[in-house]
Amino acid sequence: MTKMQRLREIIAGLLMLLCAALIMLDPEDGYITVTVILSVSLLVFGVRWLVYYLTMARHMVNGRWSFYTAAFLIDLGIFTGSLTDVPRAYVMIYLIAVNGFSALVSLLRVREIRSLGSSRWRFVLAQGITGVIMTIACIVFYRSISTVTLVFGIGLAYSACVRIAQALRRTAIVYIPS
Amino acid sequence: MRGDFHYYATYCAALLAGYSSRESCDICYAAQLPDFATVTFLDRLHAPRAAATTQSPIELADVRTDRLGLQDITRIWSSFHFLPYDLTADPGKGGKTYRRKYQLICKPNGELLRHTVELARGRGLEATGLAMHVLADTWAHQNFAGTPSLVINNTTAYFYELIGPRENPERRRIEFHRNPAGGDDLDLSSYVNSVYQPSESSIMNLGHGRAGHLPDYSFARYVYLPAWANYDEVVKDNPSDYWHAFTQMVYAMRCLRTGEPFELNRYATDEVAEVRELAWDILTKRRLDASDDWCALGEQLSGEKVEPFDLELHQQEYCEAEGQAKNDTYLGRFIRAALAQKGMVTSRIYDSGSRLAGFSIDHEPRNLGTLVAFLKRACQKEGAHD
Repeated sequence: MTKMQRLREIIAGLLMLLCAALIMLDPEDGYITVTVILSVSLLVFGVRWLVYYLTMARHMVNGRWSFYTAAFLIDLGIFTGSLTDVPRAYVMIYLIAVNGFSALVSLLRVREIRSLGSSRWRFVLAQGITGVIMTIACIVFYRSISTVTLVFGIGLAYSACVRIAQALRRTAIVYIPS
Repeated sequence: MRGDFHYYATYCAALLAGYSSRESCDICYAAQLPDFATVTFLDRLHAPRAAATTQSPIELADVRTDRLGLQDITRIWSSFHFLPYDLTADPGKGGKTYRRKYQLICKPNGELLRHTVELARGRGLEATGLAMHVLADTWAHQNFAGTPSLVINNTTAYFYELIGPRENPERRRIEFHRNPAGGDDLDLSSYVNSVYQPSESSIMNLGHGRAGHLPDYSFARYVYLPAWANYDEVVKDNPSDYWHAFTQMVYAMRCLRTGEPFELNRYATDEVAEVRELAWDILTKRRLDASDDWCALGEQLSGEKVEPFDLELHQQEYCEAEGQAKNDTYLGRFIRAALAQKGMVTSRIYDSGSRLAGFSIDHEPRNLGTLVAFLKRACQKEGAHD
């Protein structure tokens, strides 16, 4: 990773941390922020798909599907942005499904990774347990708007931390000169 | 390619190149090991993770496909399984990113293959075996790249197996399914492949995943549409490719044994003449694993029993060695060879202007962190483990 790329990743991570903090500090109003973030994210994804289609996918066999995906995401982004109130139940079901599934997969992997002799199983177990806690929190506080925003905020903060950590990692590999 | 070719066929090739049975065993073991030396395997031995030559499905499922993760994947798969053919290739279409990925497409007889074989010279039988793995895979895995890329590695449903006489084969539609437990059914031409993922960098778009194990079967002949080939039908003739791989391995190992310089597009046709008919029969027979026949051919050539591949074989020796003595064990030499190969390929990709495989330590000497790491290792003996 070049210095510029590292800087870009760190800035993106810090911005994500800022958003996560804003959401978690004021969960009630944070709900609108979540909707805006979702809308902007979909638009950004849509535009990225469009750029991907123009620069790469149109040269590929069956590449037109990338164009359809771009059009769909941009449309969805605009639609999400136009909503003033997304039914809370949908967001909560989404969060329960995502966290629950991810936790289940992590826990199932622990045994296999451990049997292979890797020390990485502890990290995966921790991920699984965190996922279970998040899922239980979502189910118990199903009606609470604060929980939705809090869980979303924690997820955002986690992604931000991982991004910053990746940017600070040593990237060169050691090899024996020929 | 599978163990039948990487292990047993390499054993036969080493014998034909003039190595003894004992030496041939060491070579073919190292030729098979790149398919097993995962980070998990190295962790178990407390060996350097940087020497990983492959990634298990479980590791791939865990890997992050961010820039660093992709670079790590590209270093491993481009260095050992999909050696790039031409790092200056111009597809005549697409932007810079497209061109960089196109340049990683694997094909036989590329300049990097010559560097790979020359790099193995004087580094022991382990390095020779490792180079033979890379060489053989350039034939089997051609037309795919060792980096996750939809625009390069994707295929369509247009897949037909060519069955019957070579001159006028029958075309049979290939059906792919996504249930690994179901396995490949040769009678129905039904094969497992990776799930279609429209994301450019999805791990499902790494190497020949979208074509299943078809490139790994020596008998397979098929036509398909690679994503990068402008809707041109490509014919993949595995028996012919595997035969070329076999004869080129014999030639390459003869060069390494005798000190003769290795040249591209040269094959040891004379040395293999005595086994041509037998080997061709093995290559063209429809079955999932040809190990038994290759093993029998090897035993016929050497007159000695060939033990099956045992992953545990050299582990105790490595684990019991202390400090620098590890470098003098079988696995220690293999690890050094793997680090050298990975470093060489990474450097070449970097030198071509591409950052898809990251960069090696000598390319960023002004960075304090890497400078410290570099100096630390420079004080140690050559090949000190990370």
